[in-house]
Amino acid sequence: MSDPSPHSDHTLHSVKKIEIIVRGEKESFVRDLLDDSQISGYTIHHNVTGRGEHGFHEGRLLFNDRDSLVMFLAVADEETIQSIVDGLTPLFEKSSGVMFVSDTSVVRLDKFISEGEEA
Amino acid sequence: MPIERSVVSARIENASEYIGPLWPLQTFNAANPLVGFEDEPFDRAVQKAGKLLGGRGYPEPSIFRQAWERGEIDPEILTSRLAEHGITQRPEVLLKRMASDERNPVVDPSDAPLDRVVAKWLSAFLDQGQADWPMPNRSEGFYKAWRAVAPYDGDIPNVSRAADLPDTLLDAFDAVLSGYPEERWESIFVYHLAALPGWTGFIKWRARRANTAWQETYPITLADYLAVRLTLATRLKEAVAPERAKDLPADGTDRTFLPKIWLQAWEDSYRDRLLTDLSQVEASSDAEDDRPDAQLAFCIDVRSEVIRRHIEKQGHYETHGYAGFFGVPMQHHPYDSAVSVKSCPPIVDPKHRILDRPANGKQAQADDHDWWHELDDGRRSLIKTLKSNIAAAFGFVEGSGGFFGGAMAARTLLPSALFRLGKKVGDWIPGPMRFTEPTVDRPAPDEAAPKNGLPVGLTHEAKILYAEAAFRLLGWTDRFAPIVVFTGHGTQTPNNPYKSSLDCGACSGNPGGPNAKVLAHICNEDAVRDELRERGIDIPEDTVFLAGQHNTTTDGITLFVDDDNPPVPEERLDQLRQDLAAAQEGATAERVNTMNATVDTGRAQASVYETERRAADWAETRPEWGLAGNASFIIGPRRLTEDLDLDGRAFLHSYDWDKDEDGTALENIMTGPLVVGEWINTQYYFSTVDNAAYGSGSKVTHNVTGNLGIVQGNGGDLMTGLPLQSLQIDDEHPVHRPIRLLGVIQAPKTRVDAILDRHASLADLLDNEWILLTVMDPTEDNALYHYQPGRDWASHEVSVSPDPALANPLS
Amino acid sequence: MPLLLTRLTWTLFALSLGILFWNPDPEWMQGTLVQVDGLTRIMAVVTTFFSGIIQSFSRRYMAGAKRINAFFGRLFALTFVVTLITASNHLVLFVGAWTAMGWLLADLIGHVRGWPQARAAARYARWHFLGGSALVAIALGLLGMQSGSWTISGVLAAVPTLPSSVVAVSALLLVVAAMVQSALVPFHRWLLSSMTAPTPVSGFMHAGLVNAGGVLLARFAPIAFEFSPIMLLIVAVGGVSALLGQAWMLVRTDVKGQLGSSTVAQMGFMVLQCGLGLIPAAITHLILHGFYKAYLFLATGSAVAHKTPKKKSAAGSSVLSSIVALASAIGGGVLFAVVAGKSLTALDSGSLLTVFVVLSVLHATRSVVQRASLPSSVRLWAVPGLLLSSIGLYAVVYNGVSALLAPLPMAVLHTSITPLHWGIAALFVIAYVVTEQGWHKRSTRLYVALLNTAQPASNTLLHNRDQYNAY
Repeated sequence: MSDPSPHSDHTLHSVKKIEIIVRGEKESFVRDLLDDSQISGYTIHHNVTGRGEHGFHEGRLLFNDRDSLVMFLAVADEETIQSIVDGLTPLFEKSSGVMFVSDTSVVRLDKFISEGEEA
Repeated sequence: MPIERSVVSARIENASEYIGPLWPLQTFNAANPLVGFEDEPFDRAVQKAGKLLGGRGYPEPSIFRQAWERGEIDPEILTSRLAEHGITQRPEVLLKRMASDERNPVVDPSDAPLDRVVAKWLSAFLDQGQADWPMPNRSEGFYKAWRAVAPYDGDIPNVSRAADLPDTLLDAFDAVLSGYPEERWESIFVYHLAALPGWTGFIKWRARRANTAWQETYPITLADYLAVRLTLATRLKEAVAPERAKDLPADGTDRTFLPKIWLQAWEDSYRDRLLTDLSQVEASSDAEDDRPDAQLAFCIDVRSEVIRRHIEKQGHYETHGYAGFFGVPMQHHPYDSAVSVKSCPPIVDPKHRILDRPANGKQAQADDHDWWHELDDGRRSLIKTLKSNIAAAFGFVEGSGGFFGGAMAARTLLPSALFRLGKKVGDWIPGPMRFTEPTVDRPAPDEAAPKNGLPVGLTHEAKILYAEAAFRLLGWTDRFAPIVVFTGHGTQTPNNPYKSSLDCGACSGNPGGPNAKVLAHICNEDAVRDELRERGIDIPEDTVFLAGQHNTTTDGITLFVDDDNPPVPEERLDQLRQDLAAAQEGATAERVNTMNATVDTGRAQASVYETERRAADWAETRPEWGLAGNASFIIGPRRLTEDLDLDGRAFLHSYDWDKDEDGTALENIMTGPLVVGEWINTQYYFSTVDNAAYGSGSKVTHNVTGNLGIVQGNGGDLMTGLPLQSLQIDDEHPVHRPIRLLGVIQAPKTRVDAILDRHASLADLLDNEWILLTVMDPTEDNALYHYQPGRDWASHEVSVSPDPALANPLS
Repeated sequence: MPLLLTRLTWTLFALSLGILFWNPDPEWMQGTLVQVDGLTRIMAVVTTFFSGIIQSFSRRYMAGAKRINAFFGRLFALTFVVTLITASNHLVLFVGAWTAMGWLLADLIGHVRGWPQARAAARYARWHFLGGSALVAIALGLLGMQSGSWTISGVLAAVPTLPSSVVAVSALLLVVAAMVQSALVPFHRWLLSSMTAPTPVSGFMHAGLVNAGGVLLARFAPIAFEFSPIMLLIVAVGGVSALLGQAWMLVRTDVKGQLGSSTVAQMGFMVLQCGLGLIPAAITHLILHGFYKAYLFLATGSAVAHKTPKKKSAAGSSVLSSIVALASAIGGGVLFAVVAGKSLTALDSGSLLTVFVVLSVLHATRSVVQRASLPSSVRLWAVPGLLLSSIGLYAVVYNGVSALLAPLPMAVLHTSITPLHWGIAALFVIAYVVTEQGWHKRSTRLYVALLNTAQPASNTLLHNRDQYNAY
């Protein structure tokens, strides 16, 4: 199968989006989780500020990179997102953090869904 | 159904919270061994940790007795604390009762095959350069490497081929865990992680830092460890899951517990005496119009308090306290070192890479140094290759034995002479700090290829940021002296695997001189000063910033100044050096009193010689006290404390509430340095209250293993925390007083409240009483308020007479 | 008390030095109880020197220890007992001193009374020492009864008249006792499990007390020298320990474990020298190794450095460097043979030692020459400089020891060279080539076997840190 031409196909494809907010010290765990899930990419925001059930967390500190919040943003097919959710659910039993999964659409599906040649 | 990899990882991640990370000896960091329990109140946390790790949570009765007999626990405070719990017996009776409550079961050691085999392979795999013939197949990761050696290991039954063992990590977990529901996994993991908390703590450290060369080359994770251990447990027919009764982690309970009450009384006594002294001093000195001869900024480290006091006595000098990495989050690559080291606090990620390069016009000195350095390197590697060579070692021993004998006699019998010799050699062959300068500027693009992901040097914006942050946090926006010295600190101690625990904690166990050099360099740049001036920090044209380093063993202070080309008039420099030498004499005289030293007080500089001997003596297990004794963290201007002798027990962070209207400076001090102070304090606390479980035991039976850690005697689990000799003057008397850190902040209470509102994790530390806090509110005539768990304040009631040792302000 | 004992030890050292140089010969020094000869004089100087250093070191190192007086008392008692071993003439005194030495040493291994693993290690060592003492007692009892003389000098003089079966059995027992004391394979494990001892004790042990095995062989050399099969046995057990000990050192990851393995190897080599009939060489080795090992033990705290994983080193040796290395090696061998009085032409047991020297010099030269970062002038003079000074220093000690031991019965016996000797020499040359080429690293089986045989006794390991106690 040949690659679709980048300009010819503007159809929207349905995929899932996951947003994850955790404390800075869990960044490496979530990063490993995403890497292991065969997801093709993700975005990280550092120094996120916000309030949760444990109280307020102010980001942007000069001398503390541990206590600020980190936000991850990733898009993938439902199966991949499910495996990430499976890993995060037990994590949130012990440490604070949230995740949101929603439906979204992308134009270039090949950028977000691996073709499964390795699966 | 096959088990989910992500679920296993998450359960391991949760389980690993109970294990504190263990740094390697090269960069020994202060950390709370109970960091995973900080989300619970102190008393519950120590109960829980005690069940899991076997350590005690409160000082032994004998330590309370010593404190009681020295008068460090105020009888009135103790009585009223006890009365709150309906206890009316006399303190002596209670001391006896506490002592008889102690049980010391005599154990007969038995073989623990599971621990033994796991520890054997961990020490083989994790070795960081000690063995010439390391474990095979390490680059494939711990589980795979272990699977490859297992068939040959007679300690592991019924494995004749690697194929007898599960193929992958996941298969291994599948084989063991399939019989257990997912809810049980976490307690199974905790049980096995807590079996060897030293080794698992080290794996935790190493696995989190994927960019260290060792982890990159020979990867290991806690999942590897658990897969090996669980597989072995089934092979050795040992328990996979803990008994239900021991199913962890069980929560602690609120209780009436004598040691808890005694600890609180001890802490209150210290607090009330300190506050009484602080209140007395206030308002004494307001005359600060004239310009000081020099200002010196030191690390907040408790050791700085002593030398600062003695420097201020010498003349018109002012001192400040700032985190010893001087606010520059950098990774430092020392001259002629093979590796870069993190030179900022453990809770900060380095953002710049700084290399040392020979300064302009210093190439000749550098060449000189290199020549000798190569020679020394050659000697070292020659000895190493000869002594471990299978055939050459015998002739080598005969040929070199005489030299070793001579060296042994000299080092044992003439340590002081060796110190002077070392100094002379340092004069002939310049050390790198004398001829190098840091790469503060961004280099040309072709050189700027980021290594380890970090850019070399600093952008203009970054320079402004760090310079401004320094002066804002200290509340130091005008009145700059002609000479300003940023003074880092480092220790000097040979033959001491715990050297880095005596270096600067704010630099992750490295000396702080390089950071001081960077900040001084930044502040001397005209472009930076112009920008600062626009922001209201006016540094006069004639102010020169210098860098220096405080040797905490000898209290000598080295200024990193190019003497061929001094940036300040020579006579001023000479005067400063003279005064620093006089301060050294005063500070060492004070310190040797606590060291069991026999010093001839009649002799000039006797105390200096004694500390110099310790700095060169390979037989010395107590070169200096490090941060032993640390008890309080005072955030406020120096005038609040400058007439007091705080006995080297206080972290001092300069801060001026009047110049920090929006509270940003205080916010950064409280979330940064104060938290690091808590890490240090809890490490000293727990190492003292249980030196076996949370400390590393006596140095005299230490055995350095794998070039990374310490085992006791023949081996076993890695030891964590500080050795006995860093905490105690002898086997029975601690020098460190195990009490929790008391923060004292001079600032409006509302400002502190607002900061706690924004920082849940900081508020947690206070609510759970890992840090105690008192605020001195200048808007209410310095009224004192004690923080109460649950975001509440109690006003201070004066109850004690001042402690004679603390009350005498120095003239 | 520590100060007093330390000063007393140094005084004794001065006294021993005096006796060494002036060699007074009063009546009591040649009695039935004690007999002070060259061996005694050397060992007294060496023992008091090590003891003095260890005690001076411990005055700072052990400061604040709860049982410091017991510690110093035992160190001093050990010093005395060891000197007594080298000076006794009466068999009962010898056995008594030998037993006391083992007892005291085991006690110091378990110096930390509250630490169960230290007690276990002490118990383990004590059983070994008691067994060794029993062997010595039986052997000497046998000899005493058969010869009717209860002094060492008497027994040794009577050896030619005794039934050879008695001599052979006693010799065998003494060899095994020496193997236990010097921690030779298969009795090495007590030494590798002894790191529960405070560091200075380990220093003293590895520098001094394990040497007693060599002293035993030296003292009773005429008995062992009677039988060439026993000599061959000594050579074999020494050679095996030398090889295995060095191999263990390659795989151990803890500093003290590495040093312990190295001691097993060096003791093996020393015993091998005894088996070659070269008692002065063995005593010289034991002294120089003592300096070396005591230093390294006292310096075990220095072993922490920043290191990075090793990349495969390209061991490219040019033709020139090979020639230089080979030439220096041969030169070193010749130099050694000359200063140590070995024959250059006649092949005898002494030639075997020359092989080891050649290997050492070869390896040293190769390392220096290949180190490209060293300034070339340094590389040029380093080899001859180091060679001359170290072989020169060795020669001084060796010739001194030889002169002092010369009056002893059968100090040197030039045994003829047998296929076994050739085999041992070949083994080491092969081992050298194999490790230099890294071929050994291909065998996982060998690695595991070495790692497992070098493990300390299992109940001396501290896995549950709860059980630890510092005093």
